[in-house]
Amino acid sequence: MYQPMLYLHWKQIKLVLIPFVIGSFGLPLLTIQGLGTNGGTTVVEPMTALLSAQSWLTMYPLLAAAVGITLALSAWNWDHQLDHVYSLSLPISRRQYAMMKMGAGAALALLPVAALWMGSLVAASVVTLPAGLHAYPNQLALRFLLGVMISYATAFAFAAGTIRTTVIVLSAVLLYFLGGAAAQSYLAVFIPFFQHHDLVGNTFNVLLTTGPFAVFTGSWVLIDV
Amino acid sequence: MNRAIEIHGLGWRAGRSFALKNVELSVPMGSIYGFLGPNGSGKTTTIRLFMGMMKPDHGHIRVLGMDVPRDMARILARVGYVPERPHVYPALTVAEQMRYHASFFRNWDEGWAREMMDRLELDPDRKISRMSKGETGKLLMLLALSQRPDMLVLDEPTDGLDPVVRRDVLTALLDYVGETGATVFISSHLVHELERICDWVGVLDRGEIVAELPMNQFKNGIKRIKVAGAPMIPVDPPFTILSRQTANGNGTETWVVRGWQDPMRQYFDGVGMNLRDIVDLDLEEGFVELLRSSRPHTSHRS
Amino acid sequence: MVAFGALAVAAPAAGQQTEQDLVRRLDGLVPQWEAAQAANANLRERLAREVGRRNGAVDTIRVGPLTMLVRPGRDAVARDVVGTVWRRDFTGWVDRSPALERTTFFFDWSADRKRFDDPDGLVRVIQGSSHDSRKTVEAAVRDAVGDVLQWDLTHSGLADWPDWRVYIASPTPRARLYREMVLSSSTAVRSCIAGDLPECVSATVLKVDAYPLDDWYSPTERLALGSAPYSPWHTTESNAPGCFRNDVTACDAALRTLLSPRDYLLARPRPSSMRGSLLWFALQEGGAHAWSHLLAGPGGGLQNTLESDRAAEIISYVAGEPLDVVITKWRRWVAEDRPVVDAGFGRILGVTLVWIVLLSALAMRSKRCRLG
Repeated sequence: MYQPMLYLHWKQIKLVLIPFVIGSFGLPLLTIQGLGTNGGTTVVEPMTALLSAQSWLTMYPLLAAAVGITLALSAWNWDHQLDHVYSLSLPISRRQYAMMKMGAGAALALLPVAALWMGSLVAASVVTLPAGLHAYPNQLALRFLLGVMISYATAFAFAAGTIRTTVIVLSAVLLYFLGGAAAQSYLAVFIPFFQHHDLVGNTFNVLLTTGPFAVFTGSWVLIDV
Repeated sequence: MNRAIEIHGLGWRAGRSFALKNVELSVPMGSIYGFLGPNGSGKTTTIRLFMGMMKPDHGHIRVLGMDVPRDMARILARVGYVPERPHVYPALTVAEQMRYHASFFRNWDEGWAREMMDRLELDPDRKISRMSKGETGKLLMLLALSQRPDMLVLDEPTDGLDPVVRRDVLTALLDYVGETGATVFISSHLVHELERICDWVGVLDRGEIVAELPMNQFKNGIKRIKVAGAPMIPVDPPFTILSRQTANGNGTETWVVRGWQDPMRQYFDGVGMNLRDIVDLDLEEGFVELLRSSRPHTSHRS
Repeated sequence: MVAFGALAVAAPAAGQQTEQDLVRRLDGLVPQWEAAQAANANLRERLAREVGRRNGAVDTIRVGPLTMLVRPGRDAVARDVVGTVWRRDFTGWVDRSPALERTTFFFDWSADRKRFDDPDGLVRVIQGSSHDSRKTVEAAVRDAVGDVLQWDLTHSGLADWPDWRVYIASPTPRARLYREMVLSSSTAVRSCIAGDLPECVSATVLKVDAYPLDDWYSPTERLALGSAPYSPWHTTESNAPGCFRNDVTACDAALRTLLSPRDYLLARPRPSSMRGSLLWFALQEGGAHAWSHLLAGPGGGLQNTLESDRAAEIISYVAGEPLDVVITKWRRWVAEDRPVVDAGFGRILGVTLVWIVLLSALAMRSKRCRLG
């Protein structure tokens, strides 16, 4: 069952996934562009090299998020279009079906991750870095893997539910942060507790450090000291 | 008698516009059960409820002796389902869809499936999104039959198909049933089609079951009779009067009755009425009269 | 030292006397001068206490050389917090500090914190609210003490060269310094962190004989500095065309003309924090009397030393070790804390995996009865 499901997802996503794979392989090579390769002559100053590499820095988490979200939405896309009638007529528990579907998408997610890893290894092996700088292909690939997987898992969880559930959850989050911030600043006028305790801000910080997207707050660098 | 589908007190409501009200349904094992009803009567909803795709507000459902939705996975392993609208993945080819489908069904008969594919003239390399409605219909039937189910649930399977395809699909179905004795639950508003193949019939109208009986009783039991000297309120008729119509002002009335049997002729002599004529109705006419009679605002006398 | 200071004051009047007489007379003034100093300190402390009293601080405590005013009932907390900081961050290298001795602190870590009214700035205030963590308050104490310590250097040569003074109490974290040194625009600094000791001496400006642009920067770097929009030379295409035409010789010549040798420190290699770090390290190496050694300095003090080749001598004196040893140890100490690119990644990995499992579990809750 898993293999056909994997094939089904592949068939559905391949036109989008292949550019992602190419992009994932190419991004590390673009990152080292202009830094000088083993055969080349240009060796720039460390700071210049680092700034050049860091100009691509935001692309990595964005790419990871795009890959994860695209895979998750595509996993359920056809089922949503067909009102889930076909999937619900299959002799398999919904949990098992969702699990296999998730597994298929996760397996496909490994393609761009592997491509990025390969691209990073190639980039690290061909570039001549100024003294003091190092390439971190493995760390970057691992971070990318986590970024893809957490985006995938989040979007998959939403897509697996109904639109109603998604709307409720997103509205609740939005209400907490927007409504909560407004309510807090209003209450702070009357209740000293709220002058000293930024509940909404603290929640946001906790989410950033221990929330699902903590991996996106770290340093996504191929090249660093 | 063993029942393939048993539904008791099933209720489901969608807002104010539509509701299934205490549906009672009993499909005998091995029967070909025609589920009749006009568009919007709740046929597809009923099917989705006993296929475990929707949650009823109340009532109990058992399919093939197992509880819905608790045993749904085991039930679906023995049920071939052809839904109202094509539900297969459009980007797959016929062969890919067959492979995908086969992977879920332990009883999948690959040889039979290939034979069917040839017989139904389906191209294995053809993409489903490029197939005509008829070809898709044939594929759906192929998928449902090749899993060798104990029961087939067909929701308007021939709706919109041309006569040739319809014949092919129904022939394949009947061949399978003839070979395996599987139960078939077939929903349709094409009454004449069911007339030929069904041995049981259930009629749903506005979310309520208005009749459920063997096909021969349904067909033979509905008659149009002409009577003279009928009183305003007939005394204890042994049949059900579905409609009354005064003809030409000459004192005779045309009645459509249900549950007719020949010995009932004597009833008219006993109440002073004169039975002039008895006309057989086909299923469609009977169906129409049945629906007309079941609706609260339809006048019985015009 | 006292005599030396007094000499400076009395110099105009000593024109026709012999040097010996002058020294003898001045030495005779020392007790009076010391008494005046003590009276001044005493008066200052009494005034500070008065200010403290007006602000609700009635108790005075002493933690090491620190004099602390505290509110009633808060002395235990103050002793605990300030004592911890003093023992941990200062006792190892500060033996005596005139600036600390003449300073009165006010310590207040409480819920009902009020504004401290001190128009004459007699009291050094360390305040924390009840929402501040102990770590935050300890950092405030450390910064306040470190800041006062710097006053000891006010009349020294160090005052003019903030590179050496800053962060006496809290040096730049090693990992950050390492990063800044590796990314420095100066070849000398990069070579230093890579382990080249002579380059370290050059990069930290410990020995400066001339205008060492060639030591500090490679030709490419000099061109880059010369053509940078905010170069210390204020170069333009008209006043330093060589720098913009990639002509190193012409560029060098222009740079030497635009910046006099005396102003070379404007072009000194960065990061400047490495010099502060080196001084802090030397103080730690020097142990209990390091601060006194720094203030006294070889040959009588720091005056006008760190802009000449005496800086190397002072660092060595403060650390109590030969310069090469101090520099080697310092470089190794900085390099030991090379920034880890995936620092904290283990925690992120754990957090992310937990969330992936959690979200997957949520996805598995997808309902069968989902139509209608």
